[in-house]
Amino acid sequence: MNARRHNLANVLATGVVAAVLVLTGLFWARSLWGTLRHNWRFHAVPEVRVGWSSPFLWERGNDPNLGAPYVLTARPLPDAPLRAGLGLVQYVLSRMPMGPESYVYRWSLHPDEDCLYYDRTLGQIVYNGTKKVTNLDGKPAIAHFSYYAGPEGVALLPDEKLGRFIDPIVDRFPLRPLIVYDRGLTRFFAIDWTGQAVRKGPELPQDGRHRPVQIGMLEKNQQSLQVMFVQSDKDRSGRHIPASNFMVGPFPMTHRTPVLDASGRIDLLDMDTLELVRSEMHLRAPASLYSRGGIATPKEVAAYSVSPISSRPPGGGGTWTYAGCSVAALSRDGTSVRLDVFDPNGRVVASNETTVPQHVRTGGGGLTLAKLALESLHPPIFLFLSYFPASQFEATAGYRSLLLLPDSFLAMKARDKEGRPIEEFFASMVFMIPALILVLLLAWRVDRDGGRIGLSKNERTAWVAGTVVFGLPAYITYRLTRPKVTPVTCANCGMGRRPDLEKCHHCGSPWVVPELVPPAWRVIGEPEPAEDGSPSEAQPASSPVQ
Amino acid sequence: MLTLIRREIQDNLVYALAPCAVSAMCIGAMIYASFVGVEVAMPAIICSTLLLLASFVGFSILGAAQMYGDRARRISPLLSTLAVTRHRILAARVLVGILAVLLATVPVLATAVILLRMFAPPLEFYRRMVVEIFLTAVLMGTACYSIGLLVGWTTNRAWLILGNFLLLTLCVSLMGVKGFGPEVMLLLLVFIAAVWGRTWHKFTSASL
Repeated sequence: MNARRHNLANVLATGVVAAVLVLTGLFWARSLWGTLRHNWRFHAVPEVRVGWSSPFLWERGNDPNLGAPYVLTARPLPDAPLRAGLGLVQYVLSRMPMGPESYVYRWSLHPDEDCLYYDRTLGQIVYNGTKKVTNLDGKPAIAHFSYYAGPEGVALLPDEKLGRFIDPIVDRFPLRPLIVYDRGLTRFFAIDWTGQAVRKGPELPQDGRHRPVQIGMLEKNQQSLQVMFVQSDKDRSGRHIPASNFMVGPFPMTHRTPVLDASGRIDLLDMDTLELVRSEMHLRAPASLYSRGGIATPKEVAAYSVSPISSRPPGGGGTWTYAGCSVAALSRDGTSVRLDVFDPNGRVVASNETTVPQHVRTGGGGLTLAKLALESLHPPIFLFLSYFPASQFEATAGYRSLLLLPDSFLAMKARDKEGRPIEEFFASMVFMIPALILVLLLAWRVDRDGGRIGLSKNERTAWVAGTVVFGLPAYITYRLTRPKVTPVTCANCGMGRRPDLEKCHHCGSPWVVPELVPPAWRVIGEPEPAEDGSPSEAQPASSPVQ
Repeated sequence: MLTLIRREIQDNLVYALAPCAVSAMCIGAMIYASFVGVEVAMPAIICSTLLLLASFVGFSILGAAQMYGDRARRISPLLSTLAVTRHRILAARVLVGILAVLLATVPVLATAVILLRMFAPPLEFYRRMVVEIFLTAVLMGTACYSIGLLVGWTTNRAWLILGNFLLLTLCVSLMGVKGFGPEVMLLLLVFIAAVWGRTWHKFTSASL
């Protein structure tokens, strides 16, 4: 390998090492700043609170002053959205059993405990469990059993006749028939393990309007968002209210269970008929910087929590009825929360969200500017490329992204589709100006230093272009791989020149090499006279100019 | 080549064997956890996980010791006077490092697989997780070792310690950023190749 290729390989290797380390360092710096900003917001706006009393059947038409003050609160937890988005946490959530994306729905390391999972090779849902039996000698024992469920039924052994689930999602609530939606078969199923039966719902029309993604417990990053139901034990007239008439929580007490659609719509599934009842309830993202909020898809919010409200009206025979739903959502950057309460017909009856201007108030403004400064240290090419897929990023992708920046100001502005595309593009590019100023400064330094140490024009152009495109990592690479020479003064122009080059890179003059002229005297092999101790006269060597 | 490898192991015997001791402790903790239950053995599991992370530091120290020792005692200039090239010296060094990483991780993997088969329900998700975590750990160990090689080629002790600590922290934190999936494996592979490229250039172009 010649020296040029050897050097190129070294530059590339150094560039990759510098890029990985700089990007990782910048990631943690952004993460630290994001945590500080999030926690500052957490203390500035502790929670979102919603009070309501109207949606309940027995209160309609009554004096609203007699309504009980029911309050729901939602708040982001400190540090949590950022931690929850880390790749390690996401890996655990997606791969570990019982995680939201796992095919293992119930599991224990102990082989004697229940285990429920989808076997992809069989295409069936397998339920391994234990039951207490009595042996022939009358002693109690534990027997293991396995059930295999397909779309056509349940059996004790895997059987082709049971059919195959293609892409199932399940309701994780353990205390009722297992509700399954198969995205391949586009219908709901209810698996009754005790009765060994499977009920099928009607096939959903394949017009793209129904794309369920979650059933029953509708939650995302539940460790990031805390929703609480607070009920006063007295109404406004001071009368005592029995507390057990309401239930707000992830599990509905009625025959209707919520189903989240990929569009963000929340439908209701009738668990008796397995029919999907279309609703007007939606996930709604809170307004934040460069985002006006509004209807959002599940991947557009960092966290959400849907809690069905069940009520048991007096005189209703103790039967729980569906009384609405509360929906809380956390913005992408984890700083704003929105909380909506829907009535049984899907109309919003109460709503509240974090106010927006916190970004520019005292303290918050400084942290926001620091975030912009850190983004400006990112390689400009990756910052620029963050513009194009900005609306495609999953909300928490920014918490584990090294190259593209889904939560940068540029990407936030890119998602804010208000004006014409060309206007939006240039409005987003405004956020690249600090990064461009920085890389131009670095490129100028590289060019000046390259000229000083004698890089050729082509080499300097390549380094300047590399610095403009890749920014800080390219500059560090240059500093690590530039020729390390100590310039000497050129005899012709007086400027510093590299001793390893034949010509001065400033004036082009060669080295002034002294011409070696042999002396006129010679040492001959005759012995010197013993009496003559004085040295023989020698002709002085002629100077090079002679 | 074998002579060079043997010599490298003899010169850095402590650093090469320390990760194996850590590996043995991890295996002990895993076996203990299998018999007494995860909840009871949680302190032992946490300790062994921390020790496994410490073994990444051990790999880095091994790399740094190899290069720093060479630079300080001028081993490679001496060897270059014999019928050995610098490429071979570096290759022998890297092979020893990889061997140390594998010695520390493969027994842990084998034990994990055996114990899961013996004690846990036979589910599909184990396999992929075990393979992904194992491969990420091997690549991370190799990356840490490579950082040691890169930083160790110096005569400045302050840079040796601080640089090693800083780069190691950044490198290991990649696991936190990206988890254990294919993405981090690809990133680590590219990083390792680049560090080796840089080390090879520095080592082979150094003056005698």
